[in-house]
Amino acid sequence: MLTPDQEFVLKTVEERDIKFVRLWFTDILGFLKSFDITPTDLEEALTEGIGFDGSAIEGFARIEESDMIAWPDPTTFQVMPTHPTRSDSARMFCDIWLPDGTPFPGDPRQVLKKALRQASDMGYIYYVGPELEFFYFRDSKGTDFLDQGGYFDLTPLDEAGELRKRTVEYLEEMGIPVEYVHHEVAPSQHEIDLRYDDALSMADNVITHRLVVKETAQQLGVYATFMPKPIAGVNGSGMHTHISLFKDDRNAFFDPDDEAQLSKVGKQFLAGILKHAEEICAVTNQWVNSYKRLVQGYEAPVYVCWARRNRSALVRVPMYKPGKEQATRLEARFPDAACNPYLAFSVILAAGLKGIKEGYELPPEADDNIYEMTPSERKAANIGALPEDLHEAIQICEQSELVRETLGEHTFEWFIRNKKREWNDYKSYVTPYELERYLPII
Amino acid sequence: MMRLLWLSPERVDPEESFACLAGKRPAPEPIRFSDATPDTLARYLPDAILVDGRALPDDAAGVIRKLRNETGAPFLAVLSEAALATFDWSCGLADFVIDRCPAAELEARLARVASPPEEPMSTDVVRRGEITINRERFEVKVRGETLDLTFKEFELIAYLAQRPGRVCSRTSLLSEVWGYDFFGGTRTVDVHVRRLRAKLGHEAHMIETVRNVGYRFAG
Repeated sequence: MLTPDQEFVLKTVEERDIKFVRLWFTDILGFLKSFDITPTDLEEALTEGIGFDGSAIEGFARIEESDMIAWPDPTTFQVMPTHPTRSDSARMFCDIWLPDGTPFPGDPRQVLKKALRQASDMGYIYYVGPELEFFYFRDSKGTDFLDQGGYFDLTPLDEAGELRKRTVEYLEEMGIPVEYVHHEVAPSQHEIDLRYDDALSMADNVITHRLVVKETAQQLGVYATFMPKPIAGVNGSGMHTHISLFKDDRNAFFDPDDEAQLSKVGKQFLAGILKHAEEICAVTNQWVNSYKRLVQGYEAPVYVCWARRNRSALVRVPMYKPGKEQATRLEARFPDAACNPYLAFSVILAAGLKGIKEGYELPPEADDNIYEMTPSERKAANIGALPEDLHEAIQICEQSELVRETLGEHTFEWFIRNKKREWNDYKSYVTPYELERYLPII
Repeated sequence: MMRLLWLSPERVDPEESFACLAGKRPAPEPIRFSDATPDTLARYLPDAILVDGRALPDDAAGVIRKLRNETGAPFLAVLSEAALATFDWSCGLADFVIDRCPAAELEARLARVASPPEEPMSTDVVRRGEITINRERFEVKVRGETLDLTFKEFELIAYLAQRPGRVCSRTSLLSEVWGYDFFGGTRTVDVHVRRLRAKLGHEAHMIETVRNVGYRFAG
């Protein structure tokens, strides 16, 4: 028996004369994987899943069980707009299963689903709205800017206007509504803010968004990158993530009588993120390069604190619309857009829920002068710092029960192993910095 | 001939209690809030249900909320002007009148909420302005161009377009399009409306927001 969603998919494929259906999923690091099936195999894929060889995929490879089942989620069925020609393909996100009928524990989408069940068991629906920053360069070999524009600039310098316009059109055709789009602080840096959505749809959207931005850039002969810090001395690219929990159609973070309009639940959730930030950082900021963004002086957070106005805080409580219940939210400013969104949204949620369950106490709001404090003053004020580099992040993450539990044993172990390898590769690499600094003098 | 129910805090004669109903035939059936159960509704099979919210607006909203999924009949509340600011619009009512409204207005509103959609569900093709919806083919076209919708987006626009000019509350959309057991909450409706509008492009205005209540297809 087909569900109405499945019938819709089959019917649309027939009516629209779709030739290929792309089945999408991600590996543990968040790279999009895809394979095509033809309409002939579609009904079987929808009802029983369809087999593929997972051995070549990061985090999937355990030789003895390389046979995997991709089970497409019909609610994500979307015909691909490929202007100006007629579209002949569609995509669906998949959950990955093992042949024995159990969910594959290395499937990030199901890690998030599991985390969301924990929230729904407590009566909460988890909404997120990310702001995705990225750079356009002439090509992938260097960091030549397209323009010298700045924050919100609207000048002829902003060559990328056409790029952004096409990108937004493409996103909207894919059913991803855009809230704002503007030029960022750095030259050639841009930001697209997505309107909030439930976390699973949003993680799918982030994956789609990265593809749409890169594809559109490629079509116009330039290169788009979500690398967290492509240029030293210039602001990096983050993924500020707006977070809210809803319960019975009410914003669980909202309390009109509180000074920051934050309810007890909101404060506990925020306290949870702060308390576990150092542990989850390896997931939200997963690359060697991620930690070059998290340095002082570029509006990126370094210290574990919250504030309403200070944009260097780890978590901000935005004050755009005081008194407006729907808009009350937290803004986690540490994740970057090169994360795996399924896993990043999962660990942020787990940290926040832990704060609620265990009734964490929210530390006081940070002063503006947090950067002027000496390390010992910060220590006295109980203000921690994010890991200095990937190495420290992995060390802290490896000890985290919260992350282990949230990612599940398989994903956790693989992730830590993979990241240790990345750090070792980096550690033994002789960088241009060293050659430039040391060769002439030593 | 419309069969009406008159739900009020105490059982009263509707014709005496609300002047607009004087001489109305068949006479509305009076039912106390506390007696209004799914069984009573099933017994009378009303075309529309009037709810007296003049004295106790919160109780009236509670009754509507409790019964809205138990009947196909629309709820129309009678409210005092003072209650408008604080009334729970999400309770699932189809429309309301102010207690001092002329009888003709009540008639017109009743006719509007109780009339079947202009084009019945069985009609496969619905045309509204530049938008054409083909239920049989799961297809929506804007000026001849097919939109690439997901199933829920399609169901949502099809449902709204079949009721042009009528306010559909978030809760009714949620239960009609997603089903009662769906956990997502009414924000799901907002999210899908925004996705739909994004895809509708220049026709996005065809789906109107009715503040604090829900959505309406431009009629």
